[in-house]
Amino acid sequence: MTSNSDRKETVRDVVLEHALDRLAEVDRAACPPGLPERIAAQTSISPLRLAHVEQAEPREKSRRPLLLAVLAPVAAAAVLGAALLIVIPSGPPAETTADEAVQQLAFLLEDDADSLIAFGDTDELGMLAMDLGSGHEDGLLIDDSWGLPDFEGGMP
Amino acid sequence: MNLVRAEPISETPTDDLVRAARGGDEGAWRELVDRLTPRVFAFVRSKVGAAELAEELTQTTFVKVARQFARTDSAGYEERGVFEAWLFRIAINSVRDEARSRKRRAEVPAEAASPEATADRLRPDAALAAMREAIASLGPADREMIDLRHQGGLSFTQIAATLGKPLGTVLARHHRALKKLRAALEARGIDAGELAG
Repeated sequence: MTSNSDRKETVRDVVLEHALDRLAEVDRAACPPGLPERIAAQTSISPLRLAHVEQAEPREKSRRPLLLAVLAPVAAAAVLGAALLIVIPSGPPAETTADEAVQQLAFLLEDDADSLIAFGDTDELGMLAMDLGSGHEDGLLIDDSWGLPDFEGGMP
Repeated sequence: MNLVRAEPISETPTDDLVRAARGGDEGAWRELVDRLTPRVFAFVRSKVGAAELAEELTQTTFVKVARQFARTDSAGYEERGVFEAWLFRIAINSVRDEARSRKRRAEVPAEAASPEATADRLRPDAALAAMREAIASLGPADREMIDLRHQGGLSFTQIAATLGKPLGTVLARHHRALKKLRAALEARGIDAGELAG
């Protein structure tokens, strides 16, 4: 049975959601009128024009550095006896996109986050943890005590 | 206040437009862009604050989508009826990539708009300004839930697909985010009823 306080809370939620929708309407209305046209002009789904877009935009980055970033820690983890070790490069720009990293790491990890040892930049790991489905940084054991400068320096 | 609603331009379902656009229909692609740009822009802007950066990241998002649509290999977009979830996932990643890039350049992270920074971009409407400030005071996970639901206009099912979470988890998190937001508003002496009016 729903209590009075539950009903009141539901009503308050509805009122608040209505206020949030109103705010969203204002923000969508603030979208520059010419933006969709500019985007449509810059993008195209036709292969011919796509080639033009790709010339103007940075090319998709190679997957090779990501594979190295994934496979090398796995090998290191095997040596160290950990289930998995992840190194998140915190130095120079990583040669990976967030999409690629998340897809491939999520595939490797599946539900194994509890036995994970992660090393690297805390913010990056926090984002990664959210992407992997733990929802919170504490879903990962973050261990940055080993003092690796960055992945560019190689694995120990 | 004169509000312009981001209503669909035609009645064609989004999934039909996606299918047509993937088949090379430029008109369908333009309509998709017209229909979804205001939602993506509002979502991204709520995360990064600055309108100019939000424009840039909205463009980046659609460029990535166009690129995937044009691919015919297995790396291209795969139609599974979750286009909007996929689109907002790309938008989220674009914002995160930008935040990482700024961090490397030792700039203020794009995703960490402080209440003060948010206050700088407030519009004259004081009630809405208070709402923005209260949203900015929430944690990243709560803010993301509210942004996806309201600025992005996604259904709970679409949010679940975007974040890769079970529907029940998403519903619970949204409820919790609303509760925290209400508390943040109350702490500022604001009644949500005034804002909804």
